[in-house]
Amino acid sequence: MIRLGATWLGLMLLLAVEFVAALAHAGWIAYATAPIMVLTLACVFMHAASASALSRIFAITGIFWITVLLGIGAVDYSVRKATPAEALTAPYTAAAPTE
Amino acid sequence: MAEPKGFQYASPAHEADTAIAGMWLFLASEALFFGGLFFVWLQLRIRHTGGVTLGAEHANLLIGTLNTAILLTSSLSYTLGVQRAREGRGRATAWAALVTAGLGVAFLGLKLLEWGLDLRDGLFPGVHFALTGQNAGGAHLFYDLYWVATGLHGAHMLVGIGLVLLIARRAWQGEFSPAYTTPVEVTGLYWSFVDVIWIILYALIYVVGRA
Repeated sequence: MIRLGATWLGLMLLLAVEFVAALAHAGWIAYATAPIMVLTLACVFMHAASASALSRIFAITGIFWITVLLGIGAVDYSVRKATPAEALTAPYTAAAPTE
Repeated sequence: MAEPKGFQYASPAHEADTAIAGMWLFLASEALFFGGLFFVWLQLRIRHTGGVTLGAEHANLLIGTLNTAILLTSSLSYTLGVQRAREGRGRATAWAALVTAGLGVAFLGLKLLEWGLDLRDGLFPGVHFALTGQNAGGAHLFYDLYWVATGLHGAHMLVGIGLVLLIARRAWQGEFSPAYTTPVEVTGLYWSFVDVIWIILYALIYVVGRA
């Protein structure tokens, strides 16, 4: 029970850090705090650390495929010359009709 | 209560491990489901940085933070309930589940309030979208994502509250014992996973854009 309470307190402290960071326009801090919060919650409240080998394989597989999704998706966009989304920032101009 | 064991399992422990592993597999597929939304956010952040900043600055940070605190507390209360179930204390398990469901309802109540304020402030995508200026296009996309993501998360919360209430009822009726806590444990995994998704959404919607 003490371990669970300490974990909750730690998570609340990290949340407070994120809140203050957002107010101070230093939101990038969440790139560090959010993964720590997720890992802590998964290991303590979801018992991931003490789960069976099969459960851990499934959990790691989920993380792996999310990494593939984000990684390959990011590569695609980084090499693409133009995307439809650019139309939202750059007004569309139709080509002049040719004779 | 006697330990249930299906014919296909070698032992009750084998059955419990299989059920828990099955939930982890389901959660992995759910992670990929939400992963698509995270990917959309990543692209918005790269291509419409100003729009994400504009959108995040108009998101209700106070309600978002309160809701995160509520969900973190609900994960604690449910995990305490799992411990009570392992000790064979059905009534204590039921109370923990009821507290958890109550916190879930409080989360949804605050979320409804926030959605109402967003609608009042013209933050719903469409022709009446209130944010203007150079970054309005990106902010519009940001709020497309905001409504889809928080709506899907809210739907998961509704399912979670239903499951937790079911656990409370079964625990009150004495259906669990130190030898049989599988439904309590499996439901706890789902509940905490919904909490994990919110931790990420909170960072992406309310915090990171304010940089």
